[in-house]
Amino acid sequence: MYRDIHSWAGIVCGLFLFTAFYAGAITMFEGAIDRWAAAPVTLSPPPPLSATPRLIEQVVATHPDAGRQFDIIVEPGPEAPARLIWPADTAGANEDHGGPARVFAASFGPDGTLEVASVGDSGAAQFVDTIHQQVGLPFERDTALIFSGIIALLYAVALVSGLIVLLPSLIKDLFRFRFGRNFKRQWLDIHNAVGLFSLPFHVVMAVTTVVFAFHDQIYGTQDVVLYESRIEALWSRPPVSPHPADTPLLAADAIVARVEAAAPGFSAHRLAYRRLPNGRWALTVWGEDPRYANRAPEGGLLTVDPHDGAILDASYRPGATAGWQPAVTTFFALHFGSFGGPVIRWNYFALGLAGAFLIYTGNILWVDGRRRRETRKGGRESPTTGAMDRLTIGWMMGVMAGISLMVAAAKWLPALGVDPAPWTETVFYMGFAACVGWAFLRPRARIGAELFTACAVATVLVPLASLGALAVPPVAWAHGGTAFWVDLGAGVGAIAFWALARRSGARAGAIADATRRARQGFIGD
Amino acid sequence: MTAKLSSRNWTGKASAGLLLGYAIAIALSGLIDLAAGPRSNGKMQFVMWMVPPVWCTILCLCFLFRDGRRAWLGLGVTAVALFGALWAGRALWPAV
Repeated sequence: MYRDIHSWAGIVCGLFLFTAFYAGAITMFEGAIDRWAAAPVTLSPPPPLSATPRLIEQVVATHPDAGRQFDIIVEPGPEAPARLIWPADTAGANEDHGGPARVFAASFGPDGTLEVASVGDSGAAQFVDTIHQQVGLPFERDTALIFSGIIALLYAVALVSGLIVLLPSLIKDLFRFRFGRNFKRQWLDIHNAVGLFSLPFHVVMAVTTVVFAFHDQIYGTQDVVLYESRIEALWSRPPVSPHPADTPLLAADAIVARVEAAAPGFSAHRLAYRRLPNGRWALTVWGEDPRYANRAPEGGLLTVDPHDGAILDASYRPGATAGWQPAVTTFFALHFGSFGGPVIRWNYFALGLAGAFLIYTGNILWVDGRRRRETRKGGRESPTTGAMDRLTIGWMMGVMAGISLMVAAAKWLPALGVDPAPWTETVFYMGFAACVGWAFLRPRARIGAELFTACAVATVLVPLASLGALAVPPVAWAHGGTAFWVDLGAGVGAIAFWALARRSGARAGAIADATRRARQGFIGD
Repeated sequence: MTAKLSSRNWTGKASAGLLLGYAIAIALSGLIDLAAGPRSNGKMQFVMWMVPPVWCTILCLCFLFRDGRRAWLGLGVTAVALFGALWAGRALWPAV
């Protein structure tokens, strides 16, 4: 019985899960991609952290948008190219869709005058995350998340049912890989091994995703059932600064020193100032401590008094031990892989890709099993089976090619004189749709090789774009550091896609030969 | 007579798992809220986090009921019992 449940739950959510896993694996390097894609900004070198009160005062006086919110960057780099940056006021639009808000950056020129520049942000790195969260659906965020939650529930059912089906033969088959002519046996062994050994990761992902998708609804239910509709009143806000609102802001170097003294091992990255409805500034200091679970992919945070640097709330500090927050932070960190630094990041990347591969093997086993049932007694493969076969290949290749193409476009389009921001989503969906269309139009035996080639070409465009920095005059840019790893990773990915295309082509050729030889005994088709 | 477990009659079982599973998970989260100290932001978040694991578990295992009627009955009685315990507990120890 659980076999049928596993098949049906799996096939219904498979394509969406593949999207979530592949894009999720890429988001492990969202920061690096952001840096890779960030166009250089021409500004004077950032003023020291001790000069921030003067910088803030001048920017806020001349730019009302910055009076709502701005960030002080502790170590400006390509991805955050100035000491002070702020987003344009996108009143009406919200950050969930409609592309990234325009970002501005400020510095002092050599003569001490204020310099302001617009930061070209393609939004590509952010959109990989959106694809991940919304399983690729181009809907309004709240709608898409309900869909993601349903997918996550089905995913949980598929996981448990798969485990139950596997249990009776678990010990016998655990390390057996029957490679060879039996297509089903071989892929089932692989599917089972990958699924079993990454089971804890998958359980974590299924349950945390249900939380992320449905937390509003669950809080709403608990508000009525547990909290007598007083949940809004029960949420406590962090304590506010005791100083009068017109007290001068403390310089950022002093704030960083206060925070790092209060939380040894925590390295502050970003001081986020937000204007409260009562006109006061609220300050959260974002940073990272890889020794502990960090609340968000970006790290953890402390709420700090912007006037004297006192710590107002440290419950989201990585390594906090008091109360309930540390447990909740652990749940978040288990989904984001935001603990243990680069080692865990690479592990989560590998587990994410393994998850995508698990879904792929599941789908092809479903197609193969159904096709064999249909053709067993000399019947023909049903149109549904054929369509699912093609859709699986086209969809999965489309996600991979589309993401590569979209990231590459963030650097190629500026080189061609086009602002990439309005094109980011379009490029992804065009690449994706082209692959799905291709999978239905071309002969079945060829689509694997052809679409892997498309993935290879789309992915090699990423490092090729950075080579534009070597041209005279340069048509693109190549930042060092983590951005270099994006080029390297994409280069390796392109080679892998190319190898898979060759292999797929060779296998298609062998199958065609075998079919031709087998058919010579029959008259006609 | 023991009828063979089958995936044919899944609608009744799955709907029981989905709806009553959610109700049971909410009731259990309420018992955690009741049992463990004064309310705070962290505790309320933790209590919310406790819902999906229970909900997912029940949704996964509801297929072990022989048919939809038994699933609704079994999970329904469980839910009523848990909500009874929750309301009794709240009457005895008013929430902080």
